[in-house]
Amino acid sequence: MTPFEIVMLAIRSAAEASKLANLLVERAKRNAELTSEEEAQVDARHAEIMSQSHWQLPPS
Amino acid sequence: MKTNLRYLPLLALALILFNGCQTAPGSDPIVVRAEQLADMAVDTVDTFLKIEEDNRVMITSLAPRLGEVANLLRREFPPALQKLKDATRAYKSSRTQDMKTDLSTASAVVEQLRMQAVEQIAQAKQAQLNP
Repeated sequence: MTPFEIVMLAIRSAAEASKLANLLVERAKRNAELTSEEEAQVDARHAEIMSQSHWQLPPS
Repeated sequence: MKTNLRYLPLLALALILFNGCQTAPGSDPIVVRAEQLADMAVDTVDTFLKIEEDNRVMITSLAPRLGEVANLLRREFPPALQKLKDATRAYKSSRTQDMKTDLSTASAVVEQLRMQAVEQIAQAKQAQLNP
């Protein structure tokens, strides 16, 4: 792995960590049960995330 | 699924932190925690699986365990998440003690999988920054 690749990976990891932190803060502000409508929105978001290629098992 | 005792302290800490948060009036803390956990777990596992896929060649040689955990999560996380959502909805509709127990169990399974992803993200960072 080249130094450039190492730096790029570090930047990407930091960005992912920051994204997660922001999500956690956002959720901590609101501690209420989801409504049916919100449940549907969350389900749709999860389905979209989990349909991406990195969620599929790699070919053996 | 095998229970890994290494994750128990982290699981306990997560439960303490979740318990420390006050829920909105009329909201059941166990439901709020379960819904927050489901959403947070999807994001955490997603982050880990993306890192694993993007760096699969390098990770295979530097941290093969990481690939094993990624595939375990690909197999076990989606059904565990679905169980958690089903248990949450069942409890919200009936609020019985049995349903509450089911919800706690489903939450513990998802939390344990999420913690595996958290641990592997840390491992991946270590492998990438200290080849």
